[in-house]
Amino acid sequence: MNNKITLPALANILADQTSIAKKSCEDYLKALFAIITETVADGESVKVKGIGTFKVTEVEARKSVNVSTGAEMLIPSHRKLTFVPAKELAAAVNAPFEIFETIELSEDVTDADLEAANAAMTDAVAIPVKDEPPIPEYPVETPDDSIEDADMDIMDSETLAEEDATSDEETLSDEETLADEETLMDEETLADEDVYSDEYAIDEEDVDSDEEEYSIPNNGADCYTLEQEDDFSTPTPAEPAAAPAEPVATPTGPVAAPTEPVTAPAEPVTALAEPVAAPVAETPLEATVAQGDTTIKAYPPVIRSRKRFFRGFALGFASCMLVLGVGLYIVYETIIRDLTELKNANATQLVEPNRTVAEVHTIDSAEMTVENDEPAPATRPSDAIVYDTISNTRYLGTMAKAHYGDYNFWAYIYKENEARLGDPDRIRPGTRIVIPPLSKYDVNPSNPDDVKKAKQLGAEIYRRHRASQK
Amino acid sequence: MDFKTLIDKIAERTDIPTQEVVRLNSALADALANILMEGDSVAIPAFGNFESKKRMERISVHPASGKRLLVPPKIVASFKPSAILKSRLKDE
Repeated sequence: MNNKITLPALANILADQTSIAKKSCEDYLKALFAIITETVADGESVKVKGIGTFKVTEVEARKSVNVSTGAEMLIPSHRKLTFVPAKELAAAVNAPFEIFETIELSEDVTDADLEAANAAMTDAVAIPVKDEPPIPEYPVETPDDSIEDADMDIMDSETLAEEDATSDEETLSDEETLADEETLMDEETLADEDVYSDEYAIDEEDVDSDEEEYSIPNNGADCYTLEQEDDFSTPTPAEPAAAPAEPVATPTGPVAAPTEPVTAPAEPVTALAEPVAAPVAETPLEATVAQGDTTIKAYPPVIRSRKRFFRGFALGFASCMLVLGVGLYIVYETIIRDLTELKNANATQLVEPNRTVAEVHTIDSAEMTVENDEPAPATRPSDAIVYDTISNTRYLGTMAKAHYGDYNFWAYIYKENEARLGDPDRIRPGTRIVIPPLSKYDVNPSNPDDVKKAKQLGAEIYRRHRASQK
Repeated sequence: MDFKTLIDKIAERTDIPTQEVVRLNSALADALANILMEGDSVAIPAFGNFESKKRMERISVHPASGKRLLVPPKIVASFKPSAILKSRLKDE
């Protein structure tokens, strides 16, 4: 999964399969690619059986504009390499998805319907999570339903462009040729991407888009899919747990075996499987169509209606809360684990002949009350020193709330640990601090006057630090 | 260049019998298909990378009938030529 297989590793695989000496395999590979390189450099294309054709295409010279300086420049004519995979290879690579077939949309499904379905789709929380794992991460920035207008336009232009392309090619009425063309196109976009690092960068891409009239919109779509693949590789905390289960349940049988990127692409597909089974049912069909739409968005949000924005905001907020909740749970879990470990240690130490089990038990429970202090009432009964560690979700205010029952009493915690903490706005996660018993400062959170005092102390601490900064 | 000349050339250059070259080629095709299907990539130095890409489902219009089609998603084998290969092509 996302492994890079090197030439020696490939030689090993070949040697295993053919029981030919490893050295011969390596020689063969080197010779094969050297010959392809030479032939292609001479401007001839090479066909390798079972793998594909390496073609050389001429790119005519054309004018372009340097995006950063605005200066016009001429890109000289050059040649570039395209690779068209052989039918066998294409079929084998697509094996996990081969169960899907092209579905004809019924006439009465209008663009407006698709849009509505799209909106409905993005509203349902469960599906977007499966569909587009990155969304919950940046929900506010990309409320996807707000961009759907733009999507529809893009889609239209795409289909239009495709129409051009196909009619130009004259013969293309069956899917296969379409598919071939697409792979060709992929090559080009791939090549372009590489070129980004070159000096000609963007201009190069322009070259392509001018020559192949259909390039522009599709380029966009391709870029997006690339981005998405990147996204898939970054793990999202809680959501993917639900996602991987999906491909197993649905008829995408072969998908279950391969590893992540392959299962990831399968996710949006699973919904598609439904309409395959029951294409007559209109709503699922629309739904899948909507999913198709969501795939094409990589375009800046143009006009977002306020209502939609809030909906997106609510979605984002909900997912934030979810992540926060999971984080808290993990923290809580680790505390509990520490506690049980402590308990075990105590048990082994304390089971001595002169002590009864009951005694051990009471000691344990005493330990527990000290450690498990968070839900404890306002003022703690014992004056034992308690430690706490700052984390991203646990800072002075939350600690004060947990230990004393009032946010405002963070000031006392701060006062106790002033030397270690420094600026109250720049506390560092991982810092271990002492939670002082409030009796030390003779205050009580249930007393409104003391709360006021705590607030004043907090304000004073801030004032002092602002003053020292100036 | 067609496949036969390619095979002959390889056999000539490496002193591997032609039959074995053919066998190696089919093994390479199988291995490549397996690797790409699993989402891995193959990096050949000074030549390029073989990768697989996911294509999302999309709606296209049949040019003749004007019918709209929902094209299913698919995984596509792709090849990314290396900078060395590209510059060689450009120069000559």
